[in-house]
Formats: sequence, structure tokens, C-alpha cells
Amino acid sequence: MRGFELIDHTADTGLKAYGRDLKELFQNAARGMFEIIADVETIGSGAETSIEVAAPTREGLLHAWLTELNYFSITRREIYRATEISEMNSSHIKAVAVGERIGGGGIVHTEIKAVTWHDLYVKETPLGFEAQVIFDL
Amino acid sequence: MIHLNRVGDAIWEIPRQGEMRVPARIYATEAMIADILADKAPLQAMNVAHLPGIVKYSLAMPDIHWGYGFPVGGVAAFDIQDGIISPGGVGYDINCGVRLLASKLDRAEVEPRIKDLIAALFYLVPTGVGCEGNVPLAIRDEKKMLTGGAQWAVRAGYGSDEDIEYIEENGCSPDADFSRISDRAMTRGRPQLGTLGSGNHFLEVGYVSEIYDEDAARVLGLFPGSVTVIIHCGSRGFGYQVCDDHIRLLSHAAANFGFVLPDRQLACAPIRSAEGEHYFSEMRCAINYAFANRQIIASRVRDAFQETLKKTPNEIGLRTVYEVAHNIAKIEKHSVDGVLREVCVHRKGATRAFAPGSPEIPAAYKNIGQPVLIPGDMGRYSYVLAGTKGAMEQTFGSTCHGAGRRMSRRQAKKAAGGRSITKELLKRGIHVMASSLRTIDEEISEAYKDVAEVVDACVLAGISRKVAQLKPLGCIKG
Repeated sequence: MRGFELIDHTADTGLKAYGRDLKELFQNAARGMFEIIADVETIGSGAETSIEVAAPTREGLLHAWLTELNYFSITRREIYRATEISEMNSSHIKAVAVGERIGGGGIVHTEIKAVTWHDLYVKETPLGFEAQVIFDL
Repeated sequence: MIHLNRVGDAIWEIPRQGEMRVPARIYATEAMIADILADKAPLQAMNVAHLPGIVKYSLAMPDIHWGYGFPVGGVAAFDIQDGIISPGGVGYDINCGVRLLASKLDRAEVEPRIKDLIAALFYLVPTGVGCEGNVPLAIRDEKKMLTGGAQWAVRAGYGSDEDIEYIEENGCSPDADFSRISDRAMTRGRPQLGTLGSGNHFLEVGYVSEIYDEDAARVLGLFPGSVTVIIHCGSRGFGYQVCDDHIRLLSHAAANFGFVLPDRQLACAPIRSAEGEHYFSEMRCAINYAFANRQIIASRVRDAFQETLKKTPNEIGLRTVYEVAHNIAKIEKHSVDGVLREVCVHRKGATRAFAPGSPEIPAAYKNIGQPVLIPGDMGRYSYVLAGTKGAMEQTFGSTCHGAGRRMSRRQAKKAAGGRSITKELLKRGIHVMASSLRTIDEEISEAYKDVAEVVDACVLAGISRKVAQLKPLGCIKG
């Protein structure tokens, strides 16, 4: 199963993420978001940040998850190559994001202004879960 | 398939249908309309027509393209009494806008030094992801900046009072209230003041390549060959966070207000509600952040010219021609079917274009109309337009804001594959420096509509007139 794919949007960029379960779906969506921001393969793993988010719906949780990661990425000046979700239910996530500080040698391209609500969805598929997110670049 | 009626030389109407409260109108030439219809943007213009209190039409300028919520290029006015304000209708980059500076220098004086000048600008104006702005800012100062905008920046030593006169709103939105601003907005905003950001933001050095209206160009101080600078950026992470905070607050409130929204990104509140007023007052803080940001960058531009060209400020004479906002909501008075009404005009990727005689225009420009600054892509040209009576009558005094993308970033990267876009531009005499090579590929000329067509559509529809064309010598990007 592919983790994610970027989708064409005229002004901005979006992604579709896939996962056998919600945990994998959310980790893949995070990976996809940082692939838009940077060449993730070039990012090291010297920095760790704890993330905890809550929201009442699956879509709201995905929005909060990506928004939180982007907020920490910008304010701590870090790019995350991976996330490890340790606890998750339908309205709450606890995780650790691993990456490196901007300027640490990794190739960084663009900032994401925000995770939009436009055409955002999380749905079940025969293989597991699929989600779509459009970012404002 | 969306059905369109042609109602003017460059105006197309989508009739009211379903829950639309008003028709949607798209400004475009016949040659442009097929491309526009292939995009999702017309559907977004129809979605905006669903919003409560919308007056006359949901409008889309010729640079319309698929955005999120509102289309990019969208204009909508809402009645002040029963209408709404929508954070998504302003966008994340609140008061993203354009400043045009014109100098006393001729192209021939600057061209031989352009490489060094671009390098100096790249050094003095931080760009790209994670850039920080070298503007020392205590929390107390940040709060003063949020209420003072460009006027605060001048008091802090960046530029002069003369700049202020030539900025929309005189560079300061009144009634900005930071008392409930989120810590996150303050944290994101503080280190980023004086930075350009990434994506389509840029700083360009160019020259006046063509004059269409000699009188107006003379009034604006634009002469053939004179060197110009365009600054395109906005309110950085501060504005993004304010928008994000309020969309989250309002997405829960929609049900309370009894609104049924076709897109969650259109979350909104009645203008006359606690939620609406809360957003309005914090949006104004972000408007002021962007005004201060461009004022500081303009001051750094002057430093770069002086350091590189070893000339005095007076010899260089870099003066603000005008500064416009193109992601904003404002309370304005407009004549609607012969009656003067107070409305909240949302311009999402659209520029105010007030007619000659409007009291909001600087005294020196009263007879020519408000200057409108329309940047094109990296490789071609940009335009200076002026507002018209037609804009006041048709579009709540609004016009286009840029070229508008026609390719997604992925398509653009594919088109740029195997080419060196920097070298191609250099061959044409345009020096580009960027934090990311991928950004240059994503921003190739072909990714954008020809801004000349966009401008011609506005002229044909009567919502702007052409004053001058500018061509690039070099630019810096994120």
C-alpha cells in the first residue's frame, strides 16, 4: 500500500494519505506534509518533539494533528522525518516527532501556511483508511 | 457542467441556482474562459454566493483560480447589518499585498551592478523556510506594532512619514485589538517581522518598460527606463495563525447561527456578532503586521541600494509609489442600485481599485485614480493600473491582483525538469536568487497565466485602466 501521494491543486498542494489503520494513516499524512516542506530523505533524526492533540471528529483530529506538527516545525525550526504515535483513539493522539533543526544540512523548500478544511476528508476503504488534505502554501 | 451567460465583453454570469442567494459573475475574455471552466474555481464562486447577506454578485476577477473556500480572485460584499465576515474569505495570509517603489535611477545605472544588488537584497531581506527577521521585538513592542502597522515601523526608524501617505489605509488599520490574540500568533509573529517568506512571495528589481498613460505615469513618478522595486508579501505566521484560530472557533459556531455552508473553509459569523467582531479586531492586528512588515522590508531595500551602488538616499530617490492589500476584508460604502450602502468587502486575491476623486486616495493621485499594482510571473512583466468609475459601479471598486496560476506546482516542476530555470532567466538578463531551487521550478513563467491577458480583461470590462508596464532585472524568492 502506498503511504501517500501528492495531488494537483492549481494554487496550492494537497495530498491523499492511506493506512491500514488510523494510526498508519495519520503517520503517512504527516510524512506527506513534510515531503512538501522538505526533501525528507535528507533530514536527520537528532531532534525529538512530543505532540498531543485532541478533536471531536476524525477530520478535526487529522486537521489538529497536521496543524500541530506544522506549528512546532515553524516555531522550533525543525523538520520531522517521522512520527511515532504511541496512543490514539478517535479523538486523541499522543506521539513523538523525530527530525532535525532547519540549517542542520537537510534540504528544505517551502513553508506551509496552513492546513485548510477545503475538501478535507477521512474515509474507510476496503484496504483500511484514506484521507485528503489541501495545504495553503 | 456549469452553464454561463455572457453579459458583457469580458463578463460571464452563472445564474442563481440551488441555495445561491445571488448570481456569480466571472470577469474574463472569451479566450480565457475555457481554462477557467476547467478549474474548480467557478464552483467556489458559486459557493460564496450561498453566504448570508451577500450583495449583488459573487464576483471573480480574471486571475481567478482554484483556492480553498473562496476562489483566488474572489470579491464579495456583505451587508453590514445582516451579512457575514469569513476568515476563509480573507485567507491565511491576511493583508498579503504589494508595495511599488520607484527610484531616480535609470536602468543603465543599475543593470551592470544587478548581481551584487540582488545578493545584497538576499542578505538583508531574509527569505525561505524558518527565516528570521533581525528586528528586535519585545512582546510590548510587538503589541505596539499590531496597533500601529507601518506607522509604528516609521517611528521605530524604518522609512519616513512620506511612505505612510502612499499606503492603503495609510499603513494602519484602526481598532485593532490584541487583548485576546493567541500566544501562538504572537510566538509565530515575533521572529518573522521583516521577512519575505516562501511560496509566491518575492522582491523584484525592475524598470519601467512601457507607458500607456503619460499623464498618470508622470503623476506616479514613473518614467521610461526608471528603476523600480516590487515587494510582495504579507502577515507571515502571525496572520496564518489568526486565520486558523478563527476558522476553528467559527466552524463550531456555524450551527448556532443557523448557517448551512457548502464548504467548511467558508466558516463565518455575522459581522454584528461577538464572534464576527472578535475576528475583525484580530484580523486588523494581522493587517497591521503586514503593513509593518512591508515598511521594514522597504527600508532594507533602500539600505541594499545604498550599500551596493555607493550613492546617497537622495541620489537613489527610492520612494513609495503605492502599496495595496489583496487579501483583506474592509467596511466600505458603495452605491448599490443607486443607494449608498455600508458593506463588508472581502477581497481574496483581488485589489481595491478606487476611481478618481475617491477620498481614500492620496491627494496627489486624486485625479488619476488609485494606483493598482499587478505583479506578473518571474520572467515576463508586471503592470501598474489605475482604478476607474467602472470598478465602483461593477465590482465594489475591485480588480485583479496578479497573473494567477494555470499549472499546479507539480505540473510546473515537471515542465522545469532537466532545465536550469535560473540560467534560462539569466540569459534573458534576469538575476534570481532563492532559498530553494525547487521554489524557482515551481514558479516558472509557464506556470502562470500571461498577466497581460488578465490586465486586458480588466481593461475591456472597464474595471481598470493601464498606466505602465514594468520588466524584471532580478528578484529574490523564498
